Amino acid sequence: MRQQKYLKLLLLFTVLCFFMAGGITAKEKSKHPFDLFDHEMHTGFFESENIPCETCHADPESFEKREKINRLGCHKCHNSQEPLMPGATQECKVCHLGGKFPKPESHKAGWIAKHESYAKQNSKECTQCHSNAMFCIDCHKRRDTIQQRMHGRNFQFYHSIEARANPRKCDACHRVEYCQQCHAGRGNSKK
Amino acid sequence: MPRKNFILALPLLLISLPLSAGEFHLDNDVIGQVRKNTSSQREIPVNEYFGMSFSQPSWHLGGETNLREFRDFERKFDEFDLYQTVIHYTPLEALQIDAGRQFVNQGFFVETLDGIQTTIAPWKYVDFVAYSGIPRSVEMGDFNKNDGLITGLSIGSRNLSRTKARIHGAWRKINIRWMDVKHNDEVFVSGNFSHQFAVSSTPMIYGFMEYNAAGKVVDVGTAGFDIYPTGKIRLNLEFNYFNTNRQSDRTTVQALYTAGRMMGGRFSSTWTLVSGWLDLIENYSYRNTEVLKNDFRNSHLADASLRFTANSIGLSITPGYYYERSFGGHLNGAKTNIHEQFTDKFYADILFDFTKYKKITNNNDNAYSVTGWTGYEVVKGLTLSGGFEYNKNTFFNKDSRGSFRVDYHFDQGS
Repeated sequence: MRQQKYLKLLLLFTVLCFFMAGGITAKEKSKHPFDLFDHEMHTGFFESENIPCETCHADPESFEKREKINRLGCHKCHNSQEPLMPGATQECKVCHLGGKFPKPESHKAGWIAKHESYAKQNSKECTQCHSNAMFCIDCHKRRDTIQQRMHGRNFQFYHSIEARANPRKCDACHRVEYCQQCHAGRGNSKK
Repeated sequence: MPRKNFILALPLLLISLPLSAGEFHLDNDVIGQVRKNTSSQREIPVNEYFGMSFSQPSWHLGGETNLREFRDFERKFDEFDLYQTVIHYTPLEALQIDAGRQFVNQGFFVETLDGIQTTIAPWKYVDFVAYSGIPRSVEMGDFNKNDGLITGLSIGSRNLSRTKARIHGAWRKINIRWMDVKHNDEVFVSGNFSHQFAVSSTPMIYGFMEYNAAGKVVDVGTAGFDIYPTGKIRLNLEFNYFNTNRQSDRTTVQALYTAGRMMGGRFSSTWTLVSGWLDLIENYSYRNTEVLKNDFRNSHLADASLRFTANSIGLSITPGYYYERSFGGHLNGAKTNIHEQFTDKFYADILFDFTKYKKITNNNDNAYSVTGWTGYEVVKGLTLSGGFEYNKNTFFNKDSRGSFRVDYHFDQGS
């Protein structure tokens, strides 16, 4: 009873900390890669290599509105396996200050479910940003009962519902032997 | 002794030492927890994740290794997983050889493979990837057993700005010593295609089909459509067909729960309601499954969440709802994730999760889970974190856990 009271107080304290500290620590905003872009310097290079404006300005409105610029245009030269401009820097942190990398549009709608289609087409494209294969292994192969990266703690109580809805999803990482560790009474508890 | 696998990682460790140019990255994360299991035994599981990678362009050489060492100090129980130890050798611009334990994702399998993968790009628009090796599963006890053989070839397009196409072929043996096309061998062929249209909403169509020639069954058929009508709306629609070879000795979870094909679709979208502040994210999928001969059942998985972001104060709050229904039962759940990045060095995370489920076994209950973490980067690259967990569910009336984490990252080069 007493322990539960302390836990509730701890929870309340943590939530309060979020809002209080969040309010008092106004953070310095990292610069957007476009803020660092030197247009004059770049166009000089582009002209010498005959790289067309449409590489970045694919949408005519992008000449007025910078949010319409094709962000992947930068990656035709930078962090590219075959850069249009030989010698362009391949270092990510020149533009992405503070290690902040915006998600591509493709990653914003149903990405976890559909990434299989993209990865099977050209896994080299994934490695342009996710250069270490551990990024994939982290979800597909790693076993860890502490972190809740793939499944939340409650998942074990309702996994039978989801497994019947989409057993294919289980097959992506698990083999039937894994089910048998608990269901055939062969495993340790790990609960 | 699984620990002997560590020997595989040693050459990479040693070869990295003399490197003074190029790139070198090192990660070492230790994460542990103090908790009690259902038998009221105390458990202190501790995972150590060690990762290292290097590249030395002047040698045309790169490599990486990742491993996990696990110890439960209270129960004197340990595990060792070698996830990868691979050398990448690029003697020519058009040729790359990857040798060792590596992650392979060519068409059909997401596998950790002990073997060789070779990528050849003889022409500007085409590449070939050939690979062969012994697949290794990291699930308990599997690392050291004879786990078959996978050999495959992929031919694909490259350097086409909006179109991608690739065909794959693979042969999988379940037991390396036997030849039995129906039960022990699987022969797969597949094709993938995608095209993005050159208009501002960048619609893209994609699809792939995988055929298991040994089982004479279409394993996967997928057709999808991506569109971003404005900068604030992203939509994805997908249709799927799945089946599996039920004669294979490698039983799948799908074969356990189904007697025939699964068909269905999925719709996902993200709506930016207030730019830079508020997004609505939703996913819905429907499947119709033949669970017994001529007995078809429907299932639904849905979730929706609102993501509130206040970048100026480093705060992100994501409350969400999820719903699932299948022939195994149904559930309703609510989840809230709060992340606060107080400074670049100091963070806190908290997750509330509630699930109310009703199963066909009449095993109905509510499950509650609260998880919190906070951490601080004490010196460059070294972050210390502490966490707690509180769970209430059918196994535990109350379950409190304390967690700790030590992350160290070192980078040299870009």
